[in-house]
Amino acid sequence: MTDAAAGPDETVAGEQRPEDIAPDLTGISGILGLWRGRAVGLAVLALCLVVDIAFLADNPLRRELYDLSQQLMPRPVESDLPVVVAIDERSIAEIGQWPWPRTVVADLIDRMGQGGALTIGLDVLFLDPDRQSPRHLADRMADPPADVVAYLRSLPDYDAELAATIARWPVVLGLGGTRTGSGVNAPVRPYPIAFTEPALKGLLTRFPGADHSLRQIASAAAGQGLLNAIEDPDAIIRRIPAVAMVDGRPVPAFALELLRVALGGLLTVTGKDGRIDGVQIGDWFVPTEADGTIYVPFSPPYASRYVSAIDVLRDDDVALSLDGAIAMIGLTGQGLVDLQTSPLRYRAPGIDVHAQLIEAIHEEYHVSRPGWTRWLELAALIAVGLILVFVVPVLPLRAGIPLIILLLALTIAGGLFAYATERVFVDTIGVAASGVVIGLAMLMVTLLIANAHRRALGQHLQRQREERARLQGELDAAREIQLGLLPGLDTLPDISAQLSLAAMLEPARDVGGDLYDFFMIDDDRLFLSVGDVSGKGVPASLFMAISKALYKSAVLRDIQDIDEIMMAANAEISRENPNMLFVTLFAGILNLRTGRLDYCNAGHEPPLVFTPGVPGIRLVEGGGGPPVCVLDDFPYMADSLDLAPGEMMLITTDGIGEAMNRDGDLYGNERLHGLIDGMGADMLSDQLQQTLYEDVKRHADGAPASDDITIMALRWMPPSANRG
Amino acid sequence: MKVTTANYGDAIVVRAAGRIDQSSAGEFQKKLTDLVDMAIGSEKQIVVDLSKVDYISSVGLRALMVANKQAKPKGVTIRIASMQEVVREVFSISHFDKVFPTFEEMPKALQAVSALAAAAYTDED
Repeated sequence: MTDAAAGPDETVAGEQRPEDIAPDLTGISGILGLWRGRAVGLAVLALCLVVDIAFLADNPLRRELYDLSQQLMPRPVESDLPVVVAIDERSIAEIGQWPWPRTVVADLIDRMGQGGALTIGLDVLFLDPDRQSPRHLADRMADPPADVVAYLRSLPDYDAELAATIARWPVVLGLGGTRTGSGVNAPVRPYPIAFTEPALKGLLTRFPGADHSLRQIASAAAGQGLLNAIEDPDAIIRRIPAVAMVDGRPVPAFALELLRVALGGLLTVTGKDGRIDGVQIGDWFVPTEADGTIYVPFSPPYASRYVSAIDVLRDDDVALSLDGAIAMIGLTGQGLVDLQTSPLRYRAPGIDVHAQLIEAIHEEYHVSRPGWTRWLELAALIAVGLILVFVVPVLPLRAGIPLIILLLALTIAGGLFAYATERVFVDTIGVAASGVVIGLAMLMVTLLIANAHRRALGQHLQRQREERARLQGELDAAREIQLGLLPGLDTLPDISAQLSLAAMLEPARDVGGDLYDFFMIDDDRLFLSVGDVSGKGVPASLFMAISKALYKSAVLRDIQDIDEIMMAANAEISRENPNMLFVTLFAGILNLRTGRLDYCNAGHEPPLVFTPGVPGIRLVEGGGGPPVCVLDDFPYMADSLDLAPGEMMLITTDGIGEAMNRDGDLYGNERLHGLIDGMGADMLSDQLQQTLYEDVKRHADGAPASDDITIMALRWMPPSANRG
Repeated sequence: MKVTTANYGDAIVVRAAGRIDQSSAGEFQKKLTDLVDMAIGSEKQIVVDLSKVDYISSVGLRALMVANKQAKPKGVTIRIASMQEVVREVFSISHFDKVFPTFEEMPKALQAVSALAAAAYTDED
């Protein structure tokens, strides 16, 4: 039979594709393996979001990216509105050590005013009375004569002279916010600042107090402005509060106060809904961040905004160059002033920052970080994170790092692009950093999963090898059982005078359970059988062995007729059939003397009878019943035929007729009959067997046989025929 | 292969379609033995309609044999009807036509079960 019976006790190890093999991911690695590691990736993404929102509103990386933006795209200087009148080393060399007598400062202010300066700023605080003032000389004398004291007191007071000069020109003084304490000297008056909403005051940067110049001097000035910048942890100046709260009072920045004095009028902080938009000064609107600070867009070091104080004092051309400028007196001389570091990493005196801010305002060069950038950053973080979480597991491992680097570069480039085109600072480096964390986590998880898969695959292959070896062992055993039970021709007495007999069985790879048998019952009678068990492997071969043994025992119990033998064997084999197999069997008893064959056919293919060299084949039909074990009480009826001398009989199993080539074509009866028709008259049994076997193999053309091939051939040649 | 079932009076009709071979015989056998259990419980008979079966291998025959060994002692007969030529030949060579009552057409098989079954029968195809 072609198909194997797949009984419940038979298991055939099927081939599994490697991707179907689930790795044994339990415990922690089970969580890692969840959804190809994406569960872990999403958790890391969520963690990054939480950390970003909770802790990273301001972070060193963000400041680095901001500085990088400014370094790559520094503000080109176009405005010449502000000019710094520098108290530089050359001026000090000419006039003397700072602090100069306040009369000299007053002279300088006069020269600037006469030169046409729009407003004059003083980045200098006059905290104490001028000790060099002659009227104070008496204070330092031990026991001076009364007339000397009176004389000195009548001499001019330097502070009064400075105050008088300041009052002549539109002068703005500085004040320095303190970190703690109320500062030196008290403010002289409220600052002319209005708010569109009072609540906006709550958003401003706060200082507990400020150092003011002497009341005498300060009250003469047209305005006063705060000199402080926002202090970042790395001490780099990036922002200046346009307006700050000092001891509960709003104070304008030095630069803005200079503009206000130049333009006249009020300074109005505008905004609503808890956000400051900017500061209105006359017709000018200076946009700010929501907390009222301004990002200072720095230019590269720019010497042209400086003139030397000594040149202003001595050179009319230089003084006149200040016409229409916002001129600020500031200290630049070595050792006089703390230099500040800008995002462009050069160090400059504090006055430089104020000058740059005025330039930027004049140029309407505005860098900002609107509130929505924060949302954009979080959205970008989610987008980059999701891309990595979903793409990394399906990419080859080696593509993971390039993908992370690509996304990193793209996000940072996106941030720089936003700065280049809109002057909006977006912190894409935070996004990129989170992306690296998520990407590396995904890579790690993917790697772990891949390793687990490889391990599982290795184990699976090992199991398969073992299974195959076990199966092979079983098949070898089945083959041994099958072949070991087949009788050899040498078990027969010499009957070659009457009969040429040949029999062969070639087991298929998985052993089909074919069988044949022959033995002499007595001197004249030969029992012969060819059968096919409906099954494969060990169960089929064992069943075949039992069937064969029980037949032989039935014959040897001296049962004479083949149908009796058939029924006895059927009943007995049926009792020994736990796997519910059945066997098709042709069995007969050939009388070698007479050529008479009594036979039964239990569902087997009818054998063929023919005379070699003579056309015509007859089928041995009749004597039929169902296969052995199908019905344990079937009344098999024998039939008989008489072989003519020289007639040949061929009994096969369906391993012949159903032998297939690679295209699935069957060998078939037609080809078999053609082969028989073409045989010579002197063909002997073993030649027929060999010819047929070779023809079947030729047809199969290398295709493995799916079923056992069994051929039994016999040719009756009675002595009389031989002699005749 | 596809197996469907229908009840006509006291007959359970099993309709198989396609090839009953190594790949499908297990399912065929399971279905058959389940139906035999059902038939035993409800005192019905089984008719297997093979009109849509192109081929039956020895494993398919074995499925029928297993079902028969289960049914016969309990008085349930499995009838085979409407075999195609190839299937009829297999039955003929293996003499399974001596194991099962076979019928050319379904109505005759149902007639053999009972008049009630025959009356209830409708050819759904």
